[in-house]
Amino acid sequence: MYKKLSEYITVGIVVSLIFFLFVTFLQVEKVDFRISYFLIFFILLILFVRNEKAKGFLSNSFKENAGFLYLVIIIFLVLLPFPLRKNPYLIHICIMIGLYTIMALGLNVYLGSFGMVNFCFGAYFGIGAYTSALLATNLHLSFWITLILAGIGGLLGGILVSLVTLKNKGFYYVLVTFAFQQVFHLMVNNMEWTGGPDGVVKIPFPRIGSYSFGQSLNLFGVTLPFHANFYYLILFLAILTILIIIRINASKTALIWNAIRDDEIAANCQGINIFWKKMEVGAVGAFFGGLAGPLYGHYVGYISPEVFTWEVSAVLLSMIILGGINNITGAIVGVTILTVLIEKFQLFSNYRTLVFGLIILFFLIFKPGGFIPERVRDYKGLSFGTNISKEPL
Amino acid sequence: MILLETERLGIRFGGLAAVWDVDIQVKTGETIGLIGPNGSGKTTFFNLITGIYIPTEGSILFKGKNLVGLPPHKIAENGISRTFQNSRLFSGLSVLDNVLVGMNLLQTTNIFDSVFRRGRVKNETSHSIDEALTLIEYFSIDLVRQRYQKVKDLPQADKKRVEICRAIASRPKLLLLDEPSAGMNPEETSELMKDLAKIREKEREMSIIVIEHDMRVIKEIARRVVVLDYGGKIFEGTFEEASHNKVVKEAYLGSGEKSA
Repeated sequence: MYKKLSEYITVGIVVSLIFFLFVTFLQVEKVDFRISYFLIFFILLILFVRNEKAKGFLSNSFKENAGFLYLVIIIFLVLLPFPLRKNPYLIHICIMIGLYTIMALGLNVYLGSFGMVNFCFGAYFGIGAYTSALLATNLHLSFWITLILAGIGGLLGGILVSLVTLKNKGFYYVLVTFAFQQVFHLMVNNMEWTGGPDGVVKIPFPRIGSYSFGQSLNLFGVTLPFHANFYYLILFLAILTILIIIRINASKTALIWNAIRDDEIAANCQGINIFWKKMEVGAVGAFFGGLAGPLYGHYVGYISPEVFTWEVSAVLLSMIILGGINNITGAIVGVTILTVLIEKFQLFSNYRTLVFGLIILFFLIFKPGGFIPERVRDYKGLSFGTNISKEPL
Repeated sequence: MILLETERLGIRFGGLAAVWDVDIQVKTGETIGLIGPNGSGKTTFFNLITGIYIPTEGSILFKGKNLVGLPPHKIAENGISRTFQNSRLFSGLSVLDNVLVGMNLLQTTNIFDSVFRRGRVKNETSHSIDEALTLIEYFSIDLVRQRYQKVKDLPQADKKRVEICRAIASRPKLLLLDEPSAGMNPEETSELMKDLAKIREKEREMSIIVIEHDMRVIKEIARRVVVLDYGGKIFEGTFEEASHNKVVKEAYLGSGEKSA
């Protein structure tokens, strides 16, 4: 009883501490402070990751009280806009974290589950954004319909790329996806009906009935800036994405993807249809890219081709490599750290790609698995309890 | 009853006939040894049957159905399973996961079930896990204890075991073993022979073709041997007959008169 309680308290304290650090860090104004703050946080994180005992204790109490942990995290996430309401820009950062989370989990399907480095994720993102923006501005379709159509648009893009790259592996796959990305960028930049280099402007805010996402949100008597509307929408969709990916990862679907990643010929000889599986991977990953498009477009209000370049993939790849390949928690950690870095350290802006390149190199050399590496599937509690499955490990 | 029958089976790579005119009949429940010197086309023959290479000549009849031109996964669906010479395991996955992948042909859920019908997926996975663990236990209880170990960290003998488990997990009608004793020391080889005897005992209906260089293994498990040399079949009969046959001896050792 007391043990349970102390575990609950541990979980609560750790989660609140993380959120407290996060919120206060966002609010620090001076650049020097920010850097020192960030370094302290980073060093703490590395110390924690290197300390097996602390890691074991924490991951144990996290694992045993998973339900409670998720509850606490969701409560904090829901409350997050309140302390940040004075400065909408800080809520904007949180929105970007959510957006990148959706995309990183989509890209992780390629990179983690299937072992393919995909450089056209910016194109899927762009297909989604343009689909939704053009339908909303020209045909005045509701955001909720265009959101789904954008996801389907991304999905079709993914299937197209999978069809083209059916026989390609390794570097050749990277090159073809890179080419697809460039083709997409040049097309939207030069075609008239996509608005050319000016892109699409005056994308309407989403509405629920008469409520527009452009007006400020009143919650419990507190007025939050209009960003909070998008924050909650993206939070909801990010949680949905996480749930879907968790379910796919726990099932035979992702297991077969992993098998193909490790040895395509052996997988083929086990009765796995490689063609369909490649289409499946292409579709699932790109769907989330497409889904993220309208969330960005309708939130910012305008889109232009320069947003949807190969840099989107580069940023996402470095996030995943930093956090942990084929690991949902890892991806979220990587996304959070790098998004905050991008947004809070504008001084990097000219050297952004350089910084990302250095991060990728550093991690690939010194910690190839990322902060939270991929885990072996654990089927605890998923057996009808034959005597063998009780055999000690 | 004849399970597999190849008729004048062959493949040419350019001008080179890697396998030609091979006629083999395999009966249900029979074990056949496929032997021959290095480069005689044994593995190519397996690759032809499993669809990795498409034959340029001849036919493969499996349960009366022609398999020529089918892709590997269709052939696996028909009930042919194989292991590879340099074990091709899914090295990043655990022992249990490798065997579970081998069971995918018996599973029916798809990606929509994974997302929307959790209960069904859980049920199916549980069944498969129980079955997989029973299968692994049949060969080695130690492997059950190491079920969450990544296979790349296992010793060679255990890797072979996992590969065999993976191959028979889908309950194939024909099992093709490509040099199971490759890279093993004598003790490991004796263990392997016990394992092969166990498969025989467990699946009496299953036919096995085994490629092997270690003649102890062939002598122990194969009633009938087929000898290949330069891609062609030069002998078929019992092991005793083969070991006294002049043509077979020449293929392995070279002809004394000519070299002298």
